[in-house]
Amino acid sequence: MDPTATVTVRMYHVGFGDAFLVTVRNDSGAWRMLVDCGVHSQGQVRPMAEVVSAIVADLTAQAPPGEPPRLDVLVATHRHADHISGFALDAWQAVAVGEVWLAFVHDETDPDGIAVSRAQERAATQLRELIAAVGGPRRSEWAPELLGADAFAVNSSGNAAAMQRLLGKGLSFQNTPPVRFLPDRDPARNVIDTDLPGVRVHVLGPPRDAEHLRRMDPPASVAWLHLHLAALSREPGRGPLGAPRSGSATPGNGALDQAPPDGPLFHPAYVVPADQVGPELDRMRVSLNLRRTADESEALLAAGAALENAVNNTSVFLVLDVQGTRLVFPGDAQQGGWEHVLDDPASRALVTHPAFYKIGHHGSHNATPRPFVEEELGEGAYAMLPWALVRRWQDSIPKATLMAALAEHNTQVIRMDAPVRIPGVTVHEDMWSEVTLSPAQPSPAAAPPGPPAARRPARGRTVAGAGAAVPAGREPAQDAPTTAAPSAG
Amino acid sequence: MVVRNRPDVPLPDRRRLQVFGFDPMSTRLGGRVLTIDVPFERDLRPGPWGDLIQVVDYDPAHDAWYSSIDLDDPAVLARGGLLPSERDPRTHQQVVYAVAMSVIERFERFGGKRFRWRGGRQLRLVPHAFEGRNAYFDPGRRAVLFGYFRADELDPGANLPGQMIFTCLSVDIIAHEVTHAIVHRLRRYLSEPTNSDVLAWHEACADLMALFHHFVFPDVVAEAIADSRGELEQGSALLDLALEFGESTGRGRALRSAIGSPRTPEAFLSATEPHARGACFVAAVFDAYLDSYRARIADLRRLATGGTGVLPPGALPLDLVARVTEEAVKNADRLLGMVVRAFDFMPVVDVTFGDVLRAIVTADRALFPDDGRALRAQLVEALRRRGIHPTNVSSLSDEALTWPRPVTRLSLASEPDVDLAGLILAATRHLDIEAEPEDMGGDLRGVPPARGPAEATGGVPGPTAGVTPADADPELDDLPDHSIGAPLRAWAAKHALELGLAPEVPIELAGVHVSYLQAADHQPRPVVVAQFAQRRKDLEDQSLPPRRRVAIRAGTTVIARVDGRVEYLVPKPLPFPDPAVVDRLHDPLAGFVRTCHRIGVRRLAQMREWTARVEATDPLSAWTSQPALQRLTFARLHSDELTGQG
Repeated sequence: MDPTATVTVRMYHVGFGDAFLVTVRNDSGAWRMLVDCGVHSQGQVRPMAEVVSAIVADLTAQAPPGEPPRLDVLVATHRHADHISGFALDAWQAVAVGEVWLAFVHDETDPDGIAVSRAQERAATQLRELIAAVGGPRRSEWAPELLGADAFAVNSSGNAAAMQRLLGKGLSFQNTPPVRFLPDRDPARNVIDTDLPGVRVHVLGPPRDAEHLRRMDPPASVAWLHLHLAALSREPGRGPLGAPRSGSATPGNGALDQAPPDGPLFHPAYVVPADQVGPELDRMRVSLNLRRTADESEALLAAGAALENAVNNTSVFLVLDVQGTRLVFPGDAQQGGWEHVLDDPASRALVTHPAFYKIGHHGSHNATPRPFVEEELGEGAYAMLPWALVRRWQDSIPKATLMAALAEHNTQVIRMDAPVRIPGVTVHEDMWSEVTLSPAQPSPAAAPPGPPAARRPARGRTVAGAGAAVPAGREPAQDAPTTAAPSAG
Repeated sequence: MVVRNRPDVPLPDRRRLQVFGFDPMSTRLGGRVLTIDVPFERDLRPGPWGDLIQVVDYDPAHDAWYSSIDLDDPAVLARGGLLPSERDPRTHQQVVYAVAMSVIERFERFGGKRFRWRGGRQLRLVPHAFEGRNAYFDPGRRAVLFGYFRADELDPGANLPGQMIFTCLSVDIIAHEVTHAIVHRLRRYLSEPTNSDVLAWHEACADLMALFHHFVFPDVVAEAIADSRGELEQGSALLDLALEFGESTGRGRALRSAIGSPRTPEAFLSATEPHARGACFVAAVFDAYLDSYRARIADLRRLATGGTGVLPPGALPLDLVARVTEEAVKNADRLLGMVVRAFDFMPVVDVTFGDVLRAIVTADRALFPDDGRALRAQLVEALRRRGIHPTNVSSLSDEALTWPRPVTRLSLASEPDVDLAGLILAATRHLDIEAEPEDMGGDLRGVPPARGPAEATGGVPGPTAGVTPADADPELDDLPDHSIGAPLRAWAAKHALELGLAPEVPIELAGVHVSYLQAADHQPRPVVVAQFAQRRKDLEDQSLPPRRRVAIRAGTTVIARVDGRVEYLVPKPLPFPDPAVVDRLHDPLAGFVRTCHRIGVRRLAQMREWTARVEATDPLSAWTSQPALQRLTFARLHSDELTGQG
């Protein structure tokens, strides 16, 4: 019989972003995986460097004396800043990494995949240029929709240094680790064994069929904006319709987004002189309130959201299986990515009754499907919510109905913004929260709090080998160091 | 107007105005300028500002008012309106006014009732409202906003690169948008997309109106028929004319691929997007049009060929062209009439194409019980072949498709307070009895207020939602306690169960019209059509404050004869708050209430499923608590269509 393992998930308090260190230990050693390390530009609670230092320090403390801090696997689920921005920092040069795992869309040798990420990058860059052109030089005067659109575009663009390090191009870790692109075309290679017995990773996403590739392509709404951009680039300093940019709003008009097109529309003889516009027309103008119409800032916001969505759907979707105790890391997969998982019976079984769920996309709508919560999550699982306040989205993220549904299923939600000291959970100052799970043992006394009848039987009926997760409720032990690197199954 | 002749020369009945045929580009290529004649409005002010339409030529991007046209200027009158020109904004005003009035008049003619906007106010047409490839009806502003944009620098089509293109000069776009406004006027809650067909029906209606508008210009039809020569009987000329619809404006892409396509149900069954679904309906109506056209000209063809069926080579005889044209135009009128008349028989909320078909059949059967030319049968068959039919009827026979009669004897006159004569008079004059100040969303209601950065939550600005935000609901208490409307509401409250509505929830009178239709026997068949609606806050998303929710409504259309007897009920029920209410009833009413409850349960589940699907497919859902349904606006729909996302 395999030696019994424990698994801990440590959520670093980065802000609106993800950084999860997963450690599996058994009698013979430990296996460490970092899932993401980034924060959204608008949701930082502390400098990212502090978090990276903490991670490196934690890894150093666990490494044998004289050896570098080490990760067996480093996963960057997708290229959004709130998942990878931390990898731009040079502190990573101290850490040895066994393998880097990335979505296949970053694989230069995969023509379908790389086409998707190139198109997404291009769209993000162009969107930003267009937003800047529409908004004018003074950001303080931008319409809220433009700022919202820009937040999306910023999140998807740049991040170049982080990607360079992850891909081993110019920047590196302590070593230059091999990169594994996921999922593999060969389904057999999407179950990845680690050196610890009974510990393996299932790769469920991102989907790579044509239909889903099409969805990841920058949406048409971004594509059509390129038309405007083409005109813009030919005429520097001009707006998307070829209009010169004045930068300031017209008095009495307040045209936030509408700059006058080049020259008047009609011969000046047709324009009514200002002093001859009577009160009746003035009232009409005020009552119609035309200065805020379905203008481009709205189109840009929709395009930005669609791009954000498309990039989220390139997320690596993993299930870590530790002797039947399963932990679900969906990245920020949205509707499309989740559909792919839930529609496949084998994949669906893997996300059924997990012991742990990393709440997708900071708890937003669409990133945790209702059928998953209602039918698959089961009772009493642990879930971590990597969330911090971003005022812009405070009403919608996390989605209240999602949080209510999780509560209904007695999910033990560990929120980054409000750490709780419940059994099985450790909180270290305000730097991280950690949950410890132990695969099933015949020890009913160790059952976690909550409605006891509801939770265990449900979990017992799961796929073969799935056992009850029992939080150990203790500080993680300093285990013997391991040098085991994952090997392909 | 200045009176110059003594004794007075009476004012003319009609005003002739020139418009592009059908937009500046095709006019340039084909040299075609059309003359539309519209009712001669007395005291038409410059703008033009009339009783129904106000053209507001304010251009916010340039902060400029453009000179208004005075259509009563003798120099303009004598010309039949100015020759339309892209460079003269006054002709733009003339074009939007002429087309809008013409569309409204056709609705009046087919619908058998005088058309008025709510509160006797005007629809505002803004020909130069914004820069952008779009034009849309905005219920909150009770306005149609037309955009202008530059032709693509690289791929300008038949335009000059960078040339300014005005959507307000396209007859198709104007007709389409004004129809949206008219549909919204007749059925306010059909702007709330409670299922995938609701906005699709809006689009289909707007496209049908605009498409068949091409067939009312005899010169255009005659020209097409004369060109078609030997293919006369196939109607390919008319098909081409239909396909031309929206060509240059970017409008009607979905239509062009649907019209004339093989008559199979796949396209409709797989379509979810409103334009695509609507296009299937329009294509089916056009199928029926071609079928009936062919049947109607078969005799002319036999006459013209001496029975051989083979036309001589060369041009068609002019007499033949004239007669065929007449049939083509009449036929267009008949089909469009069938669709427009059906409005009275539509549900108040949550319409489906199956409902539309039943409404068409019910309305037409009442007037033309024999269906002498089998036009109705042809339309039902054409729709069936494209997969459009109700799901819960036993067959597609007239009897099965007709709306059910009330199970109990029901009469508006049963309540002594309901002044039926006064109601009919008022509803005839004003189209509705209640001059609600809050009509069509009201002046400023729904117009986005200026917002501070604190509200920069990614909410969508601009066009006001098709979904009436809950705070824009006409609160029942606010309605004027009109001497005619109040008793009618009281009547509905008393008979709530018979109408399939919840007795304990307030009932709103969403509208009451009187239509004067003429039947096959040339007798008038006036009907009173009352729309009752009921907002069910108890069934809405309780996680949002009431004013930000998507409203959930039940509704029942009541069609009564002028003596008050209710002929048909078109209920769209919701589950009763207290299902036990049925225990106190006896059949047949108990059976009716039970059925309504069952249908209501299913309908509510479908609405929730649809709402979830819309949320799931809108990328903005993640970022805002605003319900995604409220982002399904005409503006966005049309923008998608014009820019290639549709």
